Amino acid sequence: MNKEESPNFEQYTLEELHQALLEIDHQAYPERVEKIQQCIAAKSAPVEISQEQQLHTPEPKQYRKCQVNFLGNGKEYFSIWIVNLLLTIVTLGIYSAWATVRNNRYFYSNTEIDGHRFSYLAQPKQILIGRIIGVLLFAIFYAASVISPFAAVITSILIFCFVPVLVCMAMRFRMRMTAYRNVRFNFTKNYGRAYVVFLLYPILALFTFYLAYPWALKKIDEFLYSHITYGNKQMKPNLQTAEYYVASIVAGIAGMIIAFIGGFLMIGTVTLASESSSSGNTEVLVMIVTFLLYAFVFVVSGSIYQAFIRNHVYNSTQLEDVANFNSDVKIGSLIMLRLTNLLMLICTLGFAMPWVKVRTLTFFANATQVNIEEGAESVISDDSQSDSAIADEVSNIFDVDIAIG
Amino acid sequence: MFEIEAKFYPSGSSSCQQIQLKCYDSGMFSFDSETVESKDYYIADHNISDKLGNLPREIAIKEVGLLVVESTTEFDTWLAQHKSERLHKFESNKKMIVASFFAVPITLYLLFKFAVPYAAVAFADIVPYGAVKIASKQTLDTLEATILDPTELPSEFVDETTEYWDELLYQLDTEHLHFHIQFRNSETMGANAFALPDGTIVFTDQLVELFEQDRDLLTSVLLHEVGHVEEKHSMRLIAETLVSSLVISYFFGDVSGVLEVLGGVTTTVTNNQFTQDLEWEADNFALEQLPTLGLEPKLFADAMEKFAEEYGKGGGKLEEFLSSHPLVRQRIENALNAEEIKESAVQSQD
Repeated sequence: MNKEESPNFEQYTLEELHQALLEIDHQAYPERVEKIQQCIAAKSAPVEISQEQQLHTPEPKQYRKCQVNFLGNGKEYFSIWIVNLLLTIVTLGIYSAWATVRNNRYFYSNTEIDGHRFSYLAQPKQILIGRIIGVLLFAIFYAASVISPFAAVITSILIFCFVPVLVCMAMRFRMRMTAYRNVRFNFTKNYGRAYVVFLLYPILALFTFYLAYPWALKKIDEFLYSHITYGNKQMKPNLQTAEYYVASIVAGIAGMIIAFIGGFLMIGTVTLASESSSSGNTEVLVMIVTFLLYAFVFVVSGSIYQAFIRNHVYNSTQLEDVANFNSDVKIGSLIMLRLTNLLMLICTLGFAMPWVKVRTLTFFANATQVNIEEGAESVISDDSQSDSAIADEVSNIFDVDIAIG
Repeated sequence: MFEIEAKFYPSGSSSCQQIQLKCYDSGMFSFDSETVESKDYYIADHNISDKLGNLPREIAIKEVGLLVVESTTEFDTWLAQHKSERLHKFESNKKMIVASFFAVPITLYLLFKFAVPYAAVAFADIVPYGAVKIASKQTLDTLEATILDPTELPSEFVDETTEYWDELLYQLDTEHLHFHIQFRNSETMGANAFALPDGTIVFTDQLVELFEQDRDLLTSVLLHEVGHVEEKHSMRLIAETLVSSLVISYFFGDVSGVLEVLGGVTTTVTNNQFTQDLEWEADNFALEQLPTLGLEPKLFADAMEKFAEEYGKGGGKLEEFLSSHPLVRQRIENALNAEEIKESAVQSQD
């Protein structure tokens, strides 16, 4: 038999190959046997893997990577900002609710992912009512703290006890006022869990001399992000406690090193300066340098922590069946951004605020990508009645910090 | 009639379709879509987002969906025929922007310099005396529990001085009838005196020692404190700091992170300016009242000199800006000026 007549085993199916292996004359055609065995190995390997895949993930997911874009510009926003600011002052603050809506709309609607922009849906009247209640509560708290220290303690405790509820309500308002592709975000309230996360865990962390604090921070973030929904889809953060410890420790150490070196330099400078000028000026000099040092430590530590945690939160969070996220905030660039922002504001006595806001939003948008799953168009909106802005404003004015950025 | 490209997001899901929107002069519009039956709509019936910068315009049609249209001149003009765009006209008018740029700092300055103090005076007048009394008592109780100890001055001095001052205050033309003068020992406070809004005035032993029990020097300080009570400074300060904290928290409220530090600094500086103004008022009250009791305004200058020996006179402009009290040097000058005015008045009478 001629070698050229050898059958083309590569076109055989796996079953036919096994059959051929049984039937073939092994001594007469050792080369063919070898060929068949090679083909069996080649054919069975991928099939086995794909069978395994089918057990775990029905279809391999296809993602489309989309850059987040911020399209606003400082000059355009400045004119909006300054006119609204004037109207707010002239109306003794009443117009501030309308100004807030316009400002927020500018930020939301200039944020674009995959050719679609966000919408800000809050109405000025909702914000105005919330703001009035917030101011009243603040005034009551202030009056109480003046009339008697005892009353101040009581009101502080009361406010402290309401923090979890306020945070939930504020988050809910903020999420429900945000829409993308005509589908609203939402925040599912869970007051019981909120009390555990915002009151119990931080108090427990206190007893560990703050050793458990990063863990408590992680629990707070987990609570906030896991309760966000987009239409009928839920956010699924998969946060790691270790990341929070790394972020806290690195930020803490960096802050301490700067404070230490800065303090050392300051003492040196002050000793030099006090030899050449009057005592009054030295005190002022110490005050200013202390403030600058404080601001610098604050910027560096804050930026390190924020960059670490933001990247971690985005990179480990999924919107089920819709998208996952990438964040790549560089610590050095964030520190530079914050420092230049501070300088700009001080040098212009606050007039650079619009540029500060625009460049900050641009910075974060540029560092963020969204990977959208193919065919993720079918998110069903989950609409119910509108929320009031009360909680949002109350928590704003009492400085309850729930930064999602 | 014109046609324009638009994005159509049908209600109920996140899907999006590219459509051609037909706009008619009458304010009617319509479009063909794969999922929704074609129909005529009128602008007036639907919620249209205001023009803001160059943002695309949104038309929300209830139970049908959302239309998003690029903000072109043609489309904006068409919408403007049926919907007022006054705010956008303000925001895009160069004159208005330049005017705002100057008007914002000016109005803010006027607000803090005149409107807030004026409102604070009105507020101080309507606070009932009962509330003032409770507040004062609670404050004194707290201070006594923390940094004030019973006086260690000889009781003859305390009795004599209190009696002398009671008589003196009776001669003064004041609205307040009740002044309670107290002496307390306080290492923490050092040489100091302070007034509570109900008329309680506290001197520290350390101040009496610093003035070497000089009754006239102490009287000049007493009159300064009486000035605080008379002008209801505590209540005014509360109102002023409350308003300014609110205003500043509004401006810095939505800025996160390090910018809050700036907000804090601004609040402190603003509030310090308020207290400085009030200190000046109290100083001038004392300088006016001293002659009516047959005492020289120069006494207050002497008292401040003693302070200066203990604490330093204070330095330049920046310290003046950052401190809660006027610079001692300036207060001495002010008192000496009052003395001169008094002298020249006396001379011209001769």
